[in-house]
Amino acid sequence: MARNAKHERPSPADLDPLIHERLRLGILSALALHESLSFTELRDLLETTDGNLSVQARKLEEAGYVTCQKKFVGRKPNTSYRLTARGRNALESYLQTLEQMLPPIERVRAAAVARRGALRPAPSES
Amino acid sequence: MAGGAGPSPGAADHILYGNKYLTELRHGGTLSGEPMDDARTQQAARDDLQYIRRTLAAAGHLSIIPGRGMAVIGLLAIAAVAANLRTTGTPWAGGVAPEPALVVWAALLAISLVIGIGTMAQKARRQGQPFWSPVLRKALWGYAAGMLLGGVLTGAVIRTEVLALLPAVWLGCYGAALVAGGISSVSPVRWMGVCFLLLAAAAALLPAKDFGLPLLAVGFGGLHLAFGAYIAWRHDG
Repeated sequence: MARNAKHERPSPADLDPLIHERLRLGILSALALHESLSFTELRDLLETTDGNLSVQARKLEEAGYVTCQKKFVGRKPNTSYRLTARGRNALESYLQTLEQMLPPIERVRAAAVARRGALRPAPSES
Repeated sequence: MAGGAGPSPGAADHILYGNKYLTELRHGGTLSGEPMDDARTQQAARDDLQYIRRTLAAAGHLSIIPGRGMAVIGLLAIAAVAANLRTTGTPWAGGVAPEPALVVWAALLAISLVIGIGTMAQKARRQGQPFWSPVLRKALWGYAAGMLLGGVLTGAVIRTEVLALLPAVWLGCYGAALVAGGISSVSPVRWMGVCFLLLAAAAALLPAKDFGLPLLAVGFGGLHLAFGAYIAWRHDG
């Protein structure tokens, strides 16, 4: 991502556009907290439709930000998602950029959000 | 800051992206690479962070409610009702000692707790989630309050020998526990709590001698079975 001149705050153009869409940001944020979430859990959590979640999750998967595992539990298909190390780095970088957009006094709170998003260790790439 | 500056490299992507999805964001920010003043940029950043905070808080919802375990508890509750009917009599039936009937329900409570905790831990393991998580502790606070109140009121009802109140007390306190604990869990838990509260209202209005046991069967048996099966189907086990 491009940055403005040195010592200037980043602009919205510096934010990763792949993450900046609300639903995709929500998917990454939720997966930052849980090692793995099922399709159903993500859909309920983000209050979206099957189709929308499927499309946005696929974009993240294509970018290597999440991995998708499909398996059968009995006869029922079960899809689960995990955040990759690349996805975690991208989310952290996104949070840092947001943090730098704020005045210094607000950065402490923003940093707390970033820390919470990075509570769990980065999963291994699969 | 970007004010007055031309679009930076990559801005074209942002514009395309913004046009495709949300020309105007819900949070009032912008996805385009057009120049923004400091105040607007900061507000957009604040809104994004707020959204992330909300998502993280919501992601903390308890999703390891064990549907199958709940259904097993429902079956055991029906067995307890059958034991009351055939062997011990109901606690509120006059002319027989209430202790054996109460022991049946106390045993059901103890076994249900073991099954509930065991199947919840199993589901957490299967989903790769921590069991003793902050969200479970939060849910337990809500759940425990109703259950403790149920214990206290049961003691008071037994001491004052107005045992006909027991169905209403048990259904009501358990319903309140589910509604409170369910706030940080999946929505069927809350709705099951609401159904228990409605049954408690019926139990308070109808004579326990005729309706007490059927209402307990519908509540602890039927609702556990129905909601347990739904949760198992809809929320992965």
